This record gives sequence, C-alpha cells and structure tokens, in this order.
Amino acid sequence: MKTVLRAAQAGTMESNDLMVIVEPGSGGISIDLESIVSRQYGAAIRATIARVAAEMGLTDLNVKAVDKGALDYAVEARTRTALGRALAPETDGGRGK
Amino acid sequence: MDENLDLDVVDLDSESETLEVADFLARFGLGFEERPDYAVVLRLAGKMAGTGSFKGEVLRNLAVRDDLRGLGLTKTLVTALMREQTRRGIVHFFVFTKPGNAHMFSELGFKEIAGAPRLASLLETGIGSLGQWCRETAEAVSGLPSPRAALVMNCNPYTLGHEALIEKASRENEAVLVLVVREDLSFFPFADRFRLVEEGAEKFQNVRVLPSGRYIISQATFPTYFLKEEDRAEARSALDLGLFAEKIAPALAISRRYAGEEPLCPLTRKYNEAMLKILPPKGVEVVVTPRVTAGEKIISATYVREAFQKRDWAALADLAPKNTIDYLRSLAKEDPGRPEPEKSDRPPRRPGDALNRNSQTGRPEDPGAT
Repeated sequence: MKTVLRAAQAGTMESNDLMVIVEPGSGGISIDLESIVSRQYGAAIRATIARVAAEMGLTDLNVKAVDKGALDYAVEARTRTALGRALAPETDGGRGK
Repeated sequence: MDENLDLDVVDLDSESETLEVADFLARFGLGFEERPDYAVVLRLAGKMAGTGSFKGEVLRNLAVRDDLRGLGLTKTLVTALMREQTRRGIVHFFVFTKPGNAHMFSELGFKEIAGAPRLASLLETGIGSLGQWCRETAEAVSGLPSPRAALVMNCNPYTLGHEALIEKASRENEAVLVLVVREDLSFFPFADRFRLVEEGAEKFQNVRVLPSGRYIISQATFPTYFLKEEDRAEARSALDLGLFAEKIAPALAISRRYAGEEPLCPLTRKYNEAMLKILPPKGVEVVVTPRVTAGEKIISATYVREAFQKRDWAALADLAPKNTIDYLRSLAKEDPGRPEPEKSDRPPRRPGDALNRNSQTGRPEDPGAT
C-alpha cells in the first residue's frame, strides 16, 4: 500500500479550475470541498477525487479542494497531479522550485 | 493572465529588494518590519504591481496597486504563496484583512472566523478548520463534567504560581481545561513546557491539559503587523478574545476563564483588562487572582528564567515545583558552558530561536497566569 509522503498542491483558483491540497491522513480519505457549484456537483467532484485516490492505491488522505467550476476531467487531472507530487520522492531537499 | 506579468521571489537578505517591498506597502499603510518566511512581488511590464508574503500559516503584507484592482492579481499572489507554503508542509492558511475586503478572500475559499469591528477580519482555509478543532477538542475532553473553567498559559516554564492557579480553579469548578500556548516563540520549547504542566496537573482529578492550538494566542489571533500601532492592542485582543468567547467557549462548555494578576508585563496586563471587558458580556465570567508570593517577591516565570540563567538553584527552589527544577537541572547539565543562554549566536530573526520573543511578537508574556 502506498502512503502519501508529504503535503502537495495542484491547480489554481482561476475560473473553471480547481485547487487541490493533499496531506497524509489518519484513517480514511477525508475531503473538504468548497465549490461554487457544490449543490449541483459537490457529490460528483468528491467522487472523482476519491476515485483518483483509490486508483492510486491511497487509503489515508486529507484533501482540501477549492473549486471554481472545473469540469470533471480538470478535477481528475488536478487531483492526480497533487497526489503525484505528494508521492514523489524528494529530489531537491525541499528547497528548490 | 497578462503576458507582461512576472512573479518574482523577494530575496529577503537583499536590502534593496526588501526596501522596495516596504516602500510599496507603506503606500497602503502596511508595515514590513517583521521578516516574513517568504515574499513575492508581481510586476506588470517591469513595474511593481503587487506583493504578498507569509510567515508560517499566515498570509500577510498583501497589496495590489489601486489602478490594477479587479484583475485577479490578489488571487495570483495568494495562489503562489499557498503553493510555496504547501511545499513547505503548511496546509492550513490564515489571512487578515480589513473587514471591507473580506469578500475578496471568501472568493478564494477563505471563511471568516473572527472580526474586530471596523479594524480587522481573520479568515482561514485549507485542511483543518476552527469548527473541526472545536469538535475534536470537545471530543477529547468529553469525559469531563461541565461547566468548565479555562486557563490559557504559556508556562515558560511551569512555576509554583501556575500550580497554585490550577489548584484554585480545580477547587472552584466542576472541571478545568488548561490550554498551554502552542506556538514556539518562548525560551522553552512547547513539548517541554507542555510535559511539565501535564505532570504538575496530574494530581488534580478534574483538570485536563491541552495544547492551545492555532486559535488561541497564536500568530493568527494576534496580528502584530497588520494593524496601525494605535489600533493594535485593541484589535488584537478583540480578535483573540472574541474568538474564544464566541466559538471556543461554547464548544468546550467553558463558562469561566482564570488569569493571574499581571504586575510585570504591560502587554499581558492589557490583555487581562481586555478579557474583563470582552468576555463577561459574551457569557464567560473572568476570575483574576493575585499572584502567589515567595517571601517578598511574586512568583513569575520571568524570575524563574532569570534565576535559571544565573544557575541560582536556591532561588529556583522557592519559585518552581520539583519537576521543573529537575528539568532545568538536566538542561544545565547538557549545557554547562553557557550560563547565559539568551546570547544566541544564531541570527536573531528566525522564528523560534530568539529566547524571549514576546516583546517582539507583541503577544502577552503569559496570559492567564504567572
């Protein structure tokens, strides 16, 4: 089983985008979502984030997502990128770009 | 975004770069005295358009040129700062703003958690929230009866004065929560301060010792840099104590707050005065008790630190309980060659390495007790 190594972020708060922040969790996947369309699409966005995390083999994870109307594939891409960064081995001693 | 827009990281060791930021901020009535952890500037066609920085979890010194408002530059700044914070492992964020600008941050996912009318709003976002902290803390103390009393203490280090105050509160209340100030800007590190209080309070059945967290006397609840000098004392206390009375006390069934009289530190005295003014109308009774004395002298953590620096074990025996003295002896043993530990040879402006930053941070020396 894979573990998230560190906090990581992806995306922006521009229109039609989503900013995702992830950190190692303790017991389950917890998703805190702020969305301008949460009433209509909140459940769908959460499901996408949870699905990507599951596909990447992650079980303990905290996620904060600020959504500005991102389409489903953008949600998936941003989540994947954030998790990829969180899983990547440290290459720059934590100080580089 | 504009192609002529550049985001540059400020070299905080460069006088010319920091001066440029300071001059820019001065136009907005904002200071740049305390060194942040990281700062950026936005340039439009080479000219400075905006700036922002952070220190720990707190975004600060955010400003965008008036003629460039409404272009989303604040969003660009905040996104860049949060990205760098996350890279450093920070996933929860605070920002202060004038109440009139709070909506700008609401659009960026921030939620207002406290406000001093007309002076400042405090907002947060990220992983973890005030609501979550209240729920988790309430759960952690769910075994205690209520109503409860609260003591917020730095315990730098734990003295006989702290012990006397805890003892009094324990006697006078169903249950007591001792909240030890978490932020590590004190002479003794949080882990050590916390352990000493925990050991000392063990003998009181109805007392629970907890970390104060980020919502009580923290860099967030005490914005020293954000406000104009004359507004600072009032707004600071209003934010911190408003948050305590309106959100924390109800969540944790706290109906009283205890504090020791403050004859030494003017900031703490002001904080105590603000407590008496702000808490009771919001339903939290305030009990300020006289300091315990050792002979002629009151017992104060300040005196304990002074005596420790002189390795004056005879004086310490009257001021601190046994566990604190054992701890101080073990420190002295580790470091016999430096009888005056406040003369640090590291640079003085990095967080956590100055010995007593309270005067610098503008936070009370030890709110609530000796």
